[in-house]
Amino acid sequence: MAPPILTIFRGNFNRFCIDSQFFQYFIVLLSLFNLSLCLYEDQVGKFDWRQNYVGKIKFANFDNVSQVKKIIVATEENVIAALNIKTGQILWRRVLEKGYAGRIRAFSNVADDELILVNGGVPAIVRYWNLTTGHILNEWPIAEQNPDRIEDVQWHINDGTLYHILPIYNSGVEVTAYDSKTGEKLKSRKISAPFISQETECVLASPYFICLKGDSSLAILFYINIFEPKSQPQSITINTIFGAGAEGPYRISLVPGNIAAISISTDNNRRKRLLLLENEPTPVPHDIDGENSVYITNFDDKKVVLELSYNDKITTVMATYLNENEPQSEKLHRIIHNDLYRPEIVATTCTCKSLKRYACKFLLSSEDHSISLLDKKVLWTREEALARIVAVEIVELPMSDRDQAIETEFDLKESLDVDSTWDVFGMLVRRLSSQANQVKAFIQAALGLEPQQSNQRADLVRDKFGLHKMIVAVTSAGKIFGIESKKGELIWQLRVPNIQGFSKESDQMVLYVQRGSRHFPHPPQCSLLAADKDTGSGVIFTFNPINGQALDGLTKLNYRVKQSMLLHVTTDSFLRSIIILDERDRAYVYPESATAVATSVGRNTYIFTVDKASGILSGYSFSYSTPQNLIANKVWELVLSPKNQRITHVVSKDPIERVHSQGRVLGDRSVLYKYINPNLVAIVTQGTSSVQKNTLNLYLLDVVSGSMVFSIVHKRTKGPVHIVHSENWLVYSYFNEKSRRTEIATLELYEGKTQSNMTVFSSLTTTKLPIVERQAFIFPASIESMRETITEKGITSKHILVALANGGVLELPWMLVDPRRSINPEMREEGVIPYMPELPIHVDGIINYNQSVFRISGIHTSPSGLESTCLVFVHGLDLFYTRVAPSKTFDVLKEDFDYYLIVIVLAALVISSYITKKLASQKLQKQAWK
Amino acid sequence: MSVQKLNTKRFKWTLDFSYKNKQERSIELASPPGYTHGVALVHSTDHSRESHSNHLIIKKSWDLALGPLKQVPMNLFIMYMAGNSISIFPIMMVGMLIIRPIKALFTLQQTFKVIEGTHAFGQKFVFFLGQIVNIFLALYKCQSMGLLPTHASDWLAFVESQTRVEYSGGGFKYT
Repeated sequence: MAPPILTIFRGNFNRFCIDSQFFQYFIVLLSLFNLSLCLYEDQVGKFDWRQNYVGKIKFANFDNVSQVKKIIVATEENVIAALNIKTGQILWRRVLEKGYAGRIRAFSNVADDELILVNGGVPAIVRYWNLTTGHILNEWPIAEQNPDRIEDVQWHINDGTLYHILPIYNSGVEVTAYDSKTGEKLKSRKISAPFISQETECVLASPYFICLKGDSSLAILFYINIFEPKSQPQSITINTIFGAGAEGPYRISLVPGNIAAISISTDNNRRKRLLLLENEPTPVPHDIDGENSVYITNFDDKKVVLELSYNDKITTVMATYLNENEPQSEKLHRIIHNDLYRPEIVATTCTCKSLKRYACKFLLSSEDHSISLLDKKVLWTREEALARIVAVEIVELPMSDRDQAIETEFDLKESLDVDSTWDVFGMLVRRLSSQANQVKAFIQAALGLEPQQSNQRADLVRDKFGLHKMIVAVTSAGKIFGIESKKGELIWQLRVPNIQGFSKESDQMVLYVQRGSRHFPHPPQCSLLAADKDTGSGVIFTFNPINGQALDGLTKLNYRVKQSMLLHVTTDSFLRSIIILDERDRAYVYPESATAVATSVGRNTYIFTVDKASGILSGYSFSYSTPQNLIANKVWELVLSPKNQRITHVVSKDPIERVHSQGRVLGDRSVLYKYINPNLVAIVTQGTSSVQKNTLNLYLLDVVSGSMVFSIVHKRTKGPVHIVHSENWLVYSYFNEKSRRTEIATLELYEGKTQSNMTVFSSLTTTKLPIVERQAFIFPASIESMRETITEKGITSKHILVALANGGVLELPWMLVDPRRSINPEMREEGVIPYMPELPIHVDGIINYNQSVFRISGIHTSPSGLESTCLVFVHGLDLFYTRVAPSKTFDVLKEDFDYYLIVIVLAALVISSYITKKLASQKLQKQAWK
Repeated sequence: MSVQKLNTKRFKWTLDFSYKNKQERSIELASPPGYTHGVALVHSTDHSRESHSNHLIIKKSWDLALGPLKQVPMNLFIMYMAGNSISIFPIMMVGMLIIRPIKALFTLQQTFKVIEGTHAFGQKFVFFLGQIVNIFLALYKCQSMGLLPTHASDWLAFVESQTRVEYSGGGFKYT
C-alpha cells in the first residue's frame, strides 16, 4: 500500500465531511423538486379527463337575440352558464359563491344580450352580465332592511327595473324599485294588503301578489296588483275556479312561462287548474292531471298551456290553446326516450315555420336532474345529476372471456374433491377439453360464425396493470352511474325510484362493494343503502357495478337505519354482508342468508354511532349474538355535551388500507414503532359555548374499547375542517382566526421503541397510550377537500391530495407535513426536511394543471394493480380523473425506454462473444502449430 | 551403452572419439571431462544433511504462519486512513480486508503443503488465528461504518404488519 495516496484521500474525506452539511441540504432541495410528478405537454389528457357540469336547472331561458343562439341556465349549484343549443356543450360558465351566499334568487329574461341576476341573501348581490362572453358588467349589493325575513322576499325584474317585494304580515306589501343596472333606488311604496299572514301561502305572479287563505273546506284566494298605487285587495273563492265538489287541501304555485299564471291543485294534488293573471284573474276551465307539469307561453298571439305527462317511459306533450271560447287540446309530441324521467318544461322557444306549424324547442329538466332539449326528438341530454355525487366506489373490471375460460378450468379443482380428481389423467383431460373449447371458439370467431354472446363490451376488461376501472357514482337524485375510467364515458345509468339521502341536510347515501369482480363466476355486487322518500325507512338496492343491472332489486327495510357496516368476512360465495343497526339498536344482516357467517365473527365485531344532536357516542358489540340472531349490545358510551361543543367530523381510516412499514428509523438507527390502531377514529368538535366559541377539539377514540387515546384543543380557530386519517397519522386543516390564515396540523402516533405485540393488534389488550408528535404549518390557500393516496401494498409513500378553492388539486407530499420536521436544526433526522412554517405550493404539484375543477365535494382514491400508482377521482361540480404515482413509477419502465437499443446492444454482445470465441480458438490453434 | 559406461568409469579424463558404427553416433553425447554423476549427487545430499538447514525451514514456515499477525498493524493503519464515511474507496478497502483473510483460510491446506514437521499444527493454528484477527478487524471496521445489520432498524423491512383482532365500523347516525 502506498501511504501518500491515503493521505490525499484523508484530506478529501475531511473536506467531504465539511461539505456534507451543504450537500445534504442540496439533496433535500433537489428532492423537493423531484417529489412532485408533473406532466409533459404531450401527456396532457392522456391519463386524465375532466367533465364540466352545471347542476340542476333553476331558471333557464333561450337566447334568440344574440347572434349565436344559446340557452342561458341558472342552477341550484349557483352556476350561470350558456349552453350550445345544438350540442348542449357549455359555451361559458360562471361559478358563483358557494351555498347560501350565492343562491340565485331572480333571473331576468334575456334581452339585448344582457342578463340580470340576483343572488345571495344578506346582502343580496345584483349582477349584470354580458351574454356573449359571460363577462360581468356591473355588480351592486342591496342592503337588506329586514335580514330575518329574507326567505319571504320576492324579486321581480322588468324592463331594467328590479323590484324588491317584501310582504309584511297583517299589513301590506312593500315594493322597492331599483334601477337594475346602476343600483339607484327609484321609489319605494307600501301597498296595503292586510290578508297576508304567517299562515297564508303566497305567490308572486307579476303584477299580482296572490295569497291562499283558509283550510281544506273553504279557501279563498286574495290578490292585489302591486304595481298599481291605488289598487285594492280583491278575492276569489276556490269554488269559482273548480266549481262545486272540489276538496282540499289546496296548494298554489306559480306556473313557469312568460305569462303570469298560477296553478291551484286540489283533491290531494290529483288535479289542478290554472288561473291566468294578466289583466284580470281568469280561471281556465280545464282540468289538468296533478302529476303533469305545466308551462304557459304564447305561440304568436295565442296563449298556450303546455302539459307534459310521463307514464311508463312515454313522455307526451299536450298543447291547449286558450281561445275565448272553448280550450282546444292538441297532442304535439309523443316520445319514448330513456333519458327522460318525469320531465318538466323549463323553457321553450318557437319559430314560425309555415302558416300553421310551429317549430318549438323545449328545454326539459327531468326529475333525475338531467337536462334534455326536445325538438321533435331528444336532441341532447346532459346528466346534471353528476354535479352532486354523494358516494363513489372504483371497481375493478372483470377478466376477458378467454381469461375467464382459463379460470374456470382451474377453478373446478377447488370445488371438487381433491383426492379423487387430483390425478394426472383427469387434469390432462380437463386441460385438453378446455383447449379444444378455445380452439373451437377461435375457429368460430375466425370464420365469422355466431360470436360468443357476452353481455360485456369488448373493451371493458381488466388490463394488465389494473389501471382501467369502473367508477360507480351515486348521485343525490338517486341515479347511479357507471363511468369507465379511461375516457370518462358513461357506460350505464340506473334510476332508483323514490329514494333519498338519509337526512335532508347531507344527502348521505352509503355504497358498499359486497363482492369485487375477482370471483368469477359470481358477478360483482354493489349495494346502495338509502332512505325511502315517503316513509324514511331504509332501502337497499343491489346491482352489478360493471353492467348496471339490478341484481336483487330494491329491498325495502321496514325500519329506519341508524348505522351500517360492511363485514370483513365473506360467505362461501365471496359475498361480504352488511350489518345494519336500526333505530332501536337491533342488528340485521343483509343478505339474511349470511347471518351465520356474521354471528360467527360477532365476538370480534364492533359498531359505533355518533349522535350529532345529543353528542352521545356509543359503541356496540356483537358478542352476545346467538347463531341465529345478531344482537348488538352497547358496551360503552361517551358524551360530548352539545352545550359546549358540536360534533362536526367523525373520520375513520380507509378499511382497505395496508401499512407496509411498521416503524420509523431514527438517527441513532433504532426504530420508533408506529401505533397502527385500525379501530382509531378521529372526532372533531367545534366549541359552541360563549367561552369556547372559537375552539376546535380533536379527539382520538378507540371505538372498540371506547377509550380516549388523545385529545387536543385549538384555540381561536374555526372551520372549515378537512381531515385525513391514515396509517398512524392525521392531517387536518382549519382556519386560524388570530392570524387569519389556513393552517394544516399533523399528528403522528408511535408506540415507542418497542412493540408491545409483534404479531397482532388488539384494542382491548393494548393499554399503553401512544407517543404523539405534532406540528402545524401555514398553508397559503384555502382548502375544499383533502384525501390521502392509497396503493395496494402500502409500500409507496403517501401524498395528500388537497383540493384548493381556486380549482386546483395539489399533490402535497406527506414528507412536507411530517410532524417530526424538527425546528432545531441540530436535532435533524435523516430524510426529514428541517421545519419551515409555510408549506410551498409548487405549480408542478397541481395534478390537474389547467383543468380547473370547482366546488370539489370529495376526492376518491383507489389502488391500481401497480404498486406505484394510485387512481384519483375528484368530484364536485366537475368531475376529474387522473392517476398519480407518489414515489414515481418505480415498477414500470419509462415510456421512452429504448427497447431497440437494449435489444441491439444485447444481440451485438452475444454475436461478438461468439465471434471472439471462434477467433480465439483459431489463434490458439495457429500458435499450437508453430 | 554398457561399453561407454564402462569407459567413463575406467578413465576419468579420457575421451573416446571412436565410433563403432553409425548407430552409436546418434546416441547421447558423453559427459564433459571431469564430470561424474555420482559426485554431484553425493555433493547435494551432503548439503541437506547439514543441521542448520532444517532449522531454516522451520523459521521460514513460522514466518509464513506469523504473516497475518504482522499485517494487523498495517491493516489498522489503513482502516484509520479510510475513515468512516461510506464511499467507493473505503468500501473497496474494507472489502479487501475481509476477502483476503477468508480466501487465505480457504487455501490454508495448500499454503502449508510444503511445510511439514513437528511444528506444523502450531503453525497452522497461528496462521488461522492471525487470519481470524484480521477478519474481526474488518468486521469491526464494518461495524463502525454501520454496515452490519445489528440494529432493529436493519430488520424493519421484514417485520410483518400486525393482524387486527377486532373489526369495527360506524360513524354518524344516519337519521
